[in-house]
Amino acid sequence: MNLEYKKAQDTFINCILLFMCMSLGSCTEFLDAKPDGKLVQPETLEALQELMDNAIILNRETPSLGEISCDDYYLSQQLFAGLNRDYLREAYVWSDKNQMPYSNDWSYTYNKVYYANTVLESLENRPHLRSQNLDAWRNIMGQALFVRAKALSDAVFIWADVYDANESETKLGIPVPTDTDFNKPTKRESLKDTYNAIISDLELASHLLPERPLHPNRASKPAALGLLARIYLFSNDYENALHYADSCLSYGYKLMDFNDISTEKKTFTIPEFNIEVLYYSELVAYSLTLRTGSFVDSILYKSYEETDLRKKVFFMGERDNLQVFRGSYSGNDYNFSGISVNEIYFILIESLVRLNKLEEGMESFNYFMKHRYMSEYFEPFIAVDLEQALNYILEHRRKELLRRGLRWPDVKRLNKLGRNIKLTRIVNNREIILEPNDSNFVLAIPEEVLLNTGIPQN
Amino acid sequence: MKKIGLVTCLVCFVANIILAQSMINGRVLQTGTKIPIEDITVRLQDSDRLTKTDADGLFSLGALSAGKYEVVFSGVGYDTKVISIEIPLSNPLEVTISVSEQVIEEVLINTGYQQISKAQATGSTVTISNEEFNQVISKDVLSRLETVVSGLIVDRKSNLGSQEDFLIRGPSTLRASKAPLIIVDDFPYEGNLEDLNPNEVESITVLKDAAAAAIWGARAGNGVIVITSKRGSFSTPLKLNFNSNFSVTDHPDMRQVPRLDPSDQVELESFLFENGYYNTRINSSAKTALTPVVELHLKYRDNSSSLDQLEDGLAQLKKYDIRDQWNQYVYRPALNQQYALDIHGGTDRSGTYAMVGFDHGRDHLDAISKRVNLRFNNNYKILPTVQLTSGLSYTNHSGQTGKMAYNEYMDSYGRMPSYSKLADEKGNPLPVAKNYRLSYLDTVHPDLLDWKYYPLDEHNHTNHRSSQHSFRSFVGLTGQFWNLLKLDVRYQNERQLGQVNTHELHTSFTVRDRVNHFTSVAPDQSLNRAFPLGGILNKSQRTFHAQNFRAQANLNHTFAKHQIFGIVGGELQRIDTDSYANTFYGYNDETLTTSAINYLERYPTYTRGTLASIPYNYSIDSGTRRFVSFYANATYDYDQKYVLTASIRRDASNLFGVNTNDKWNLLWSGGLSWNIAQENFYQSELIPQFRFKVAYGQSGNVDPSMVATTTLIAQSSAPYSRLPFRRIDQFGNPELKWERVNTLNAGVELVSRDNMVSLSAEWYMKYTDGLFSYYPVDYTLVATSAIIKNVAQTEARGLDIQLRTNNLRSSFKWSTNLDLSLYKDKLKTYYMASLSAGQFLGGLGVAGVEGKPINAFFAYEWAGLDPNTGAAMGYVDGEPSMDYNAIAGSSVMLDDLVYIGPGMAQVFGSLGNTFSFKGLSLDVRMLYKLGHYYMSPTISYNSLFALGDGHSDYTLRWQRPGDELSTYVPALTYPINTTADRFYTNAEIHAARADNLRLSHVMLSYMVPSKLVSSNFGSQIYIGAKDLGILWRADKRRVDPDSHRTFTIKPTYSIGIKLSY
Repeated sequence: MNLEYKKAQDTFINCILLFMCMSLGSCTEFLDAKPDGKLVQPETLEALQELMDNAIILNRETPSLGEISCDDYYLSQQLFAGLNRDYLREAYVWSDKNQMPYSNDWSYTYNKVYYANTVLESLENRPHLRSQNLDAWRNIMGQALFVRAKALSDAVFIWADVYDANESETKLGIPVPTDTDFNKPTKRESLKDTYNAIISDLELASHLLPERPLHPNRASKPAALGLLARIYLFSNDYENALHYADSCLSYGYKLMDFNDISTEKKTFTIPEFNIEVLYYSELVAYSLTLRTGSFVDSILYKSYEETDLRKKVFFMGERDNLQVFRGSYSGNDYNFSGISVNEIYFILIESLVRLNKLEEGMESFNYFMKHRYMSEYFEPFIAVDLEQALNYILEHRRKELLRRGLRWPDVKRLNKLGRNIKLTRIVNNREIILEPNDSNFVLAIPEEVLLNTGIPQN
Repeated sequence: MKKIGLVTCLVCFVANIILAQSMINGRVLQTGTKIPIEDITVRLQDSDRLTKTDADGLFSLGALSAGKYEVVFSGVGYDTKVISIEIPLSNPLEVTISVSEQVIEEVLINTGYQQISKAQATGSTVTISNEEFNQVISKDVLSRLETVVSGLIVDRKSNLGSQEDFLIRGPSTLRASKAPLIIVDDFPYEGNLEDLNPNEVESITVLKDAAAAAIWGARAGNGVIVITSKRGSFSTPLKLNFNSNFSVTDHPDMRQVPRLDPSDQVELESFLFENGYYNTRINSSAKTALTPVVELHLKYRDNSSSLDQLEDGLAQLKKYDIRDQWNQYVYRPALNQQYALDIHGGTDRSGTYAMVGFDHGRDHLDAISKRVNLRFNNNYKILPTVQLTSGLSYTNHSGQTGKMAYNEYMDSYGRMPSYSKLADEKGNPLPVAKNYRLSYLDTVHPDLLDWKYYPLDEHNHTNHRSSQHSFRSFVGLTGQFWNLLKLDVRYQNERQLGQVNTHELHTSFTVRDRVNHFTSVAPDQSLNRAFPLGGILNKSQRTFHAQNFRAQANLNHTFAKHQIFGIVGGELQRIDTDSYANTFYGYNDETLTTSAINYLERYPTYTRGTLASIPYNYSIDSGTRRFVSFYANATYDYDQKYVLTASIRRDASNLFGVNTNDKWNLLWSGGLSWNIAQENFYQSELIPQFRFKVAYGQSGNVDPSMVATTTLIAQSSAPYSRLPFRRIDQFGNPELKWERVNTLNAGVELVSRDNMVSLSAEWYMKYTDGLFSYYPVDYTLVATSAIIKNVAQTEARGLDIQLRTNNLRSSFKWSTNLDLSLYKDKLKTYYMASLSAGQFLGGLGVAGVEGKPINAFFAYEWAGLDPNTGAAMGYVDGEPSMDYNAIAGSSVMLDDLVYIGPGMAQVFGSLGNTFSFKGLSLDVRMLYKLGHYYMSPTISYNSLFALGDGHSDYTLRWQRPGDELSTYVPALTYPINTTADRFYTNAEIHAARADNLRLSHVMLSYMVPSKLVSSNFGSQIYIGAKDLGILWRADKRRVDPDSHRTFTIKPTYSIGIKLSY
């Protein structure tokens, strides 16, 4: 064997040995590379804020089942026949079964809860984030708490009975997940615990959130206070409802004057993100909640006076003068389901009157109505007693806050207070009636969820 | 041993007494028969001197001076023989040579890490020779394998032509990629398979079982296809090959697309109009598309036309069938041309191969594709024992899209009606309603751009070009030491740059539509346009960089009757990808300028005045995959009788979120082979070769998209707020592992005397564990209804038989190849949220029923049509019923369904016959698939109403009592009952046997006798046809079960020539 040959051979072996050693040593580092550049774990404040900015999950698709079930609209025989899903037809006539497949109103609700829990858990597990940027930390935590409370409150109005201080410990509420562990069994909390969870989230959120959000997609302090006012109104706790509505309105939000809104040649009349919007969200869009998929209840439409600007701003005549709704606070086809100043005013007014502050209540009521009636024809409403005042307020609450999912819980609430609202549907020339306080007012949970979890149906 | 004996007893030569120069001449005869053989090349070793035998087997090599020489005798179909002679010769040589026996022992298997003799392999492999590979003419490599690899099935049910459809011994995974691992020249090929030119391929080895594939470890679970490309070898004369062919594929028949009959559609839409079905659309403020029938009715309803005009208009529409117009204006026969030229040769120190290939094709829709392949490789001996291998290849693949395919004719609600009229009598494109109704477009502001959509013209206004450049280079150094050890280091670098440019011209519908959409009319009737008038340019680019580094030691030691050989090595692989996509507006291709856009601004839209922002399309992606592997294998051979093999491999990858320690995955295999024919007690002359083998091995499957922790994906712009946002991509799952495939394989190989019959039969059992599968979770607790876990297990058993017979071996030759595979699989463990029936229907993909095949069909029990109403009936408690909630509602469970059968063939394979006479050769191959089912498509009233997607079964629907005797299509009801529709479309009546036998290809080739031209010049002319259609099918419905959703693939005819010098 010649020398040159031997040398080449040695170098060769050395090279291989060197490679083997190197590769063994640097393996760990080599293998720790991120497989996809876009993958991030929920570890930084920035990532968590961006999770809370996921408007597709969080600001869209709040449950529509209540709106589908309410009496502000109706389907003509043709529209009913044209529905392409059996479960929508069933929902329209208050079936006690819910055959909606995944994704459905239930999953949309709990997606929001899971996102909020992911953020809250990450904040809890990474205490150093608090000291990094306290303002951002408070803001993100407040948003997550708000998102969770808003989702649960939208759901509790649909899948649980009306809150009643005496019975709520025994009545069923809805599941209230507080972490991201999905291997735990699902259970329905009591109605009282559900409301308590929502209220405590919102109270904490109202302390953490900033007064002005970057965008109405994000929660703010007034939005949290406004939602608290709503929850208390629905628990018939008028003191607290008044307190929170009042605090909410103290942040200087104004009302739109409908005298300034032009209705000519417009498909939609209310501007998006108008000054009344405190927090923006939309209902799930099913054909029967959309503008062209349903008609406004004709009695309701006729009850608007000609001097009431809302008659033109909210409605538009289609063929045969059937009326469709065009006044969503979204400024488009989607039905607004967020929190806005007009609703807070009605909470304030109703609470005042129910707390026997008739004069104060009517004063606020007339202040509000001035923004809705033609200024030259506006005559202040005069109520001789509480009952009359309440009648005015409830009538206009319905006329002001339609097509945003509030009518259904209102009917449930008012029936418990003895208002005897009976709902009627006419389908295939047959009249279907939902008597006040009927058990079908608590809507059915999707069958699929019951199969998965074993929780009881309503 | 036998062979050597044979050789010695047959060689004879006689010493020559003449001392000086002497002639070498002689005669070549066939062993045994002593028949003279023509056309045998006789060459003097280490010289250029050669000749061929004549018809009497005689030859002369001319005169030679005295001394010792070696003479080589070789010829097609005969064993090559080398004899030593001593000049002068005493008598003319008489040499007998034997017919080559395609002896199994001589076949070498390339596993990508080493070459081993097939006799020493214990796992299951199939090697495809260059000849077999070239029996089909195609542009790509993989499509040639189906007819020659036993156990390989191409599952065409889902999407045509992707490598995902190539299943080697059935699926080994449920959710991860089903594509086999492709190895090209010893390294995993990460590029686009369409880039490979079949003319580059020397041979292909398919490693079918885990024992054979275990050496490829965690990515080999689906089997491995090892492609070896041609290369230059040492000491061979320079040779030039040229191959060219031209193929044409028949015009597809669009009438086969199952669409609603035009007059049926006209009547249906009229009926729906009467019932107010279209009112929502008619009243829509978005002015969405209305079909011509609805427009006619609307005109009549609004008193702007008479009843006669309406009826006349409807009658006119019934005359057009969109499918005839596709046949006439859109589809054409497809063409493809292929040229390849290679040159190879070598000296004693180096071997070189160079090739250039060019393919040019035009498909049915006039889309153009071009491919250029360049390849060069070189082997160089630095020292007698140290060899440097290097290679370089470049591929450019470019294409341009053509006309719109039939399934792209859509309007805002779904498929365009089948009576649509796309062109006038002169063939000029006509507008059809797409996003807006045509009657509305007649009333819009006159200064708007033309808002109509002309489907036949649209392709003239879009310029879609794609181009992909790939470079692959490798360098390897091999050194042989002490006859015992060979060291090998290799590095391969693969780069790819792909670009796609779609230019929607300013005249395209997309641009005109966008411009008009973002136009608002000022009070003085002037137009404000927010969207720029120029073209839209979508530009995307993807780069890809794969690097492989391998160091390996090969050991080989023989002492007495023992032989030990094996390899030990390590490997690093790194694949980086980067991509971006961007949309430019207002693009002017002459000045290369674009317009600035304010994406945050919301502009009023024309039709409804709502606010919308201009879509912002920009994305950047990057990713990396890393693998580190260590492997070893060893083979011990005792006396060529007993062979033991073992291999072990450990892989790690950068699986996200898993601790590094857990990333390591150990896989192994072991096997045994017993060559019974070598035993002393085995004396059979009828079957001189008889071998038995058995092996067990593990391989894996890795899905790089799986991560173990909760991860977020960043997205650029949230609705309304336009803020960047994230969504949860994966939900934390720390127990994530790699999938594992275990195979036990046992086989026998027999060859009869004179190679008349050879048989290989292999039985296997495949058991997979920890397969990724959806695991149901309660969506109350997490933002999904299922997460992916390593939870499923499957089991498969099968038998692969390959039978090769040489039926006739005189001057007329006839041989037969039969591949027969039996396959049966079942899901052992699988989780479903519930056993509610709905999720087991449909039959594509994983059925999800434990104990049943992975791919299985279930259906609702069918009770016929109700004679009075024509409604479909199912069973409730054994009684025919029309209570659809009870027969198909959410309370119906799996137990209530009828099990139809497996969706994958249980018996399949191919039958090939080759006939040859002189230079003429004919090859015919058939493919068969048996024992499986499909659900033949039918009318779904729901998709018809909702998506305009109507099936021609509509014509057969029940219309009056008595029809139930001749049809199973239920009556049309309105309003539709979606549950009834689901019941009908998934009823057992649609289940049909998918068994079929098809003529896969025929190839006739003629080898022009070299005498006619020149002795160094070879030429072959060939004509071929493939996809010749179904010869037999079990189901009488006359649909092709492999392509029942669309039209049948038409035959391709080719003609070509091969020249060599």
